[in-house]
Amino acid sequence: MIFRRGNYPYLVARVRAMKGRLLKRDVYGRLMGMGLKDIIRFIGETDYKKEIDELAGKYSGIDLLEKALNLNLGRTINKLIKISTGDARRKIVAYSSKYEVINVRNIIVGVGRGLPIEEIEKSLVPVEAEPLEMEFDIYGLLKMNLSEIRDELGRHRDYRAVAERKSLVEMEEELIRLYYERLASGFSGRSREDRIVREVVSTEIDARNIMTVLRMKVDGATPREIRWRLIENGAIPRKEMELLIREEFDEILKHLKNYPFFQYIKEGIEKRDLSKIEQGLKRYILKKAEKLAYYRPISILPVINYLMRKENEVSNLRLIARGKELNLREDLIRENLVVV
Amino acid sequence: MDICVLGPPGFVLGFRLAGIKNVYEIHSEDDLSESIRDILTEKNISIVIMPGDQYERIPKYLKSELESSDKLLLVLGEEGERRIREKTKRVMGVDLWRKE
Amino acid sequence: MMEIRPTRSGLIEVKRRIEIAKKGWELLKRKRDALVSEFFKIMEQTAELRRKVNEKYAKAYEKLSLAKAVEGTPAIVSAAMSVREAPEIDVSFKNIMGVKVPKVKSKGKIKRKIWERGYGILGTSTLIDEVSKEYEELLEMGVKLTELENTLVRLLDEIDKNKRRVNALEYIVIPNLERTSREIRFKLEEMEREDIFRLKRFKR
Repeated sequence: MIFRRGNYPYLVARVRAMKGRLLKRDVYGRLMGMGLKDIIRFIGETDYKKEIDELAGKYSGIDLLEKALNLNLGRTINKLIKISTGDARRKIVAYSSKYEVINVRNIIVGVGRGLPIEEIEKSLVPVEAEPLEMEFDIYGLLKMNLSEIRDELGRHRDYRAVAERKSLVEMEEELIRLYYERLASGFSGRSREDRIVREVVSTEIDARNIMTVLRMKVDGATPREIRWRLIENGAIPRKEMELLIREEFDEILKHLKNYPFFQYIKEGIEKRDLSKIEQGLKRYILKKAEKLAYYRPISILPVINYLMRKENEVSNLRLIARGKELNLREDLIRENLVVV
Repeated sequence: MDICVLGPPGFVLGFRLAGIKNVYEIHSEDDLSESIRDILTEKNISIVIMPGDQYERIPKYLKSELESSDKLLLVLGEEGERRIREKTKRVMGVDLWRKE
Repeated sequence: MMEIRPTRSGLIEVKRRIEIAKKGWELLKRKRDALVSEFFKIMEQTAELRRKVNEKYAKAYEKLSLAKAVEGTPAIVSAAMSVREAPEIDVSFKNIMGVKVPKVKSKGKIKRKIWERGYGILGTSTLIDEVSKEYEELLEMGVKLTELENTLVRLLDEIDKNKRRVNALEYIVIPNLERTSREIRFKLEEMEREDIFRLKRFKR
C-alpha cells in the first residue's frame, strides 16, 4: 500500500533538510557586495561545493559557475528520483521531464543559430535520461545538425508536432507549449495534490499569456495577432482572455486589478513597466507554490515546491554572477532578482 | 545602400537586434585593419558605425583613407563628439561646442 | 601669368588685376559668411542630437548587459540572429552654397513592432523587446546624426578652403599686385623725370 503510494513521510523529511540548505535572502545581499571571484569562492563553500570542486580543474570564472549550478540542479533532481518510490517517484519524474524539453529547446536554438557546442552545453541541465524515461540521449542530439535533429524529433510521439514546424522560431514556440503540457502531464489525476500542482502550472500559463498580451498591445497588435500565441489551459477562462485581447493597453492594465496577483504587479502597473510586471508575476507564482505546499504537508507538494525554489535560486545566482561579469549596475541586478 | 557596424562582439550585438546584418566583429588589431580595408572596397556600404575607442585605434593612414572616402562615419561616445569638436576648433578658431 | 611690363599699359593691367582680386576677395568673404552662418544653423541641431545619441548609446548598452545577465548571452544572440534585416539606406547629395552635402534617409521604418522583428515572442521576455527598441531608436537617431555631422564636416572643409583663399588674396596676391603697381609707377615717374632732364639738356 505505502509502496504504491510513495514514501512521502521519508521524502518530505529529506526535502525539508534540503530546503534548509537553500540560501537565505540576506545571502543575496552579501553576494552583491562581492566580486566574481569571491562569489564563486563563496558558492564553493555552500551546497554547490562538490560541483565547483569537480569542475574547477576544467573551467573557471563564469563558465565554472554556470556549469556547476546546472550540474548541481541536475544531480538534485536525480537524487530526489533515486530516494523516492512508487507514486512519488512517478510524479517527480513527470515534473522533471520538463527539463528534457528545456534541453531540447536549448540544443535546437543553439544548433540552429550556429552557437559553439561548449556554449550550448553550458545551458543544459544534466538530468539522467533513464529514470526520466526520457526519449533521447540529449548529448547525442548535440552532435547532430538541425535537419538530423528534426528527423530524430519526428520519431518521438510528443515531439512530432515540433518536428513538423517549418521555421526555427516556430519549433521553439511549439516546444514551449510542450513544456507546459509536460509540466501538467504527471498530475492529471483527481487527487487534491494533483489539482494543486495543475493550479500552479495554470498560473504560470496565465502569467505567460498576460505578458504576451501586454507586450503585443504596447505595439498595437490586433486580437488576431495575439490569439494564436496564447497557450491553453491557463486558469483564466478562454472567454475572459478573448475579452482581454480586445481591449486597449490601458484598459487591460486596469482589468488586471481583478486578479489575485494584483498586489505583486501593482508597482509595475503604476509605472507601466512591463519588466516589473513580469518580475511580480514570477514572485507571485513562487509564493503561491509555497503556500499551497502547506495544504498537504505529507505529499508531493513540498517536493515540487522545493524544486521550484531550487530552480529559482540557481536562476538568481546565475544572474548575480553574469551581472558582475558584465559590470552591471548593482541596483539593476537587485531589481531583477526573484526573492520571496 | 547599407549600414555596417564595426566593433567588439558586445558592441555589435545590440545593433544586430535592431536588424543590422553587415557586422564586422573585431577581436584583434589585425581584424580592425582588415575590416576597414574590406569596408572601403564594399560599394554597398554607405554608413559605418563604430565605438569611440575603436576609432582611436585605427592606424593613421587608414583613418585618413576612411575620412576621405565616400563612406559616412558615425563614431559613438565621447571620442565621436571630440572628432567634430576638434575639427571645428581648428577651422573656426574657437571651441564652439559648448555643453550645457 | 602675363608678364607685366613697366609701361603705362602695364600699369593699367596691374590696376585691372587688383580690381578683380579685390572683387574676388569680397565675394569670397561673403561666401565665407554665408557658409559660416549655415554652419551655425546646423551645428546647434547637431550638438543637441549628438548629446542625445551618446546618452542613448549608454542606456541601450546597459540594457543589453542586463538582458545578457538575466537571459544569458546565447538567448540574446539567438534572438539577434532571428531578427529581420533593417531597411536599406538612401544616400543622396544636395547642394548647400556649392558644397556637396549628404542627405541620408532610411527606405523603410527602422523602429518595428515586436512581431515584425522576427524573434519568437513566446520564447523571449519583455527585456528583449526593450533592448531591441532602444537599439532601433539609437539607429534611427544615428542615421540622422550621421547626415548632420558629415554635413558639418564638409562645410568645415569648404570654410577652411575658403579661408585659405581669402587669406591668400588678402596677404599675398593683393599686396603683391599693389607692390608691383607701386614699382611700375615709380619706374614710370623715374623715366618721366629722365625724359624731362634729357629734353632740358638737349634744348641747351
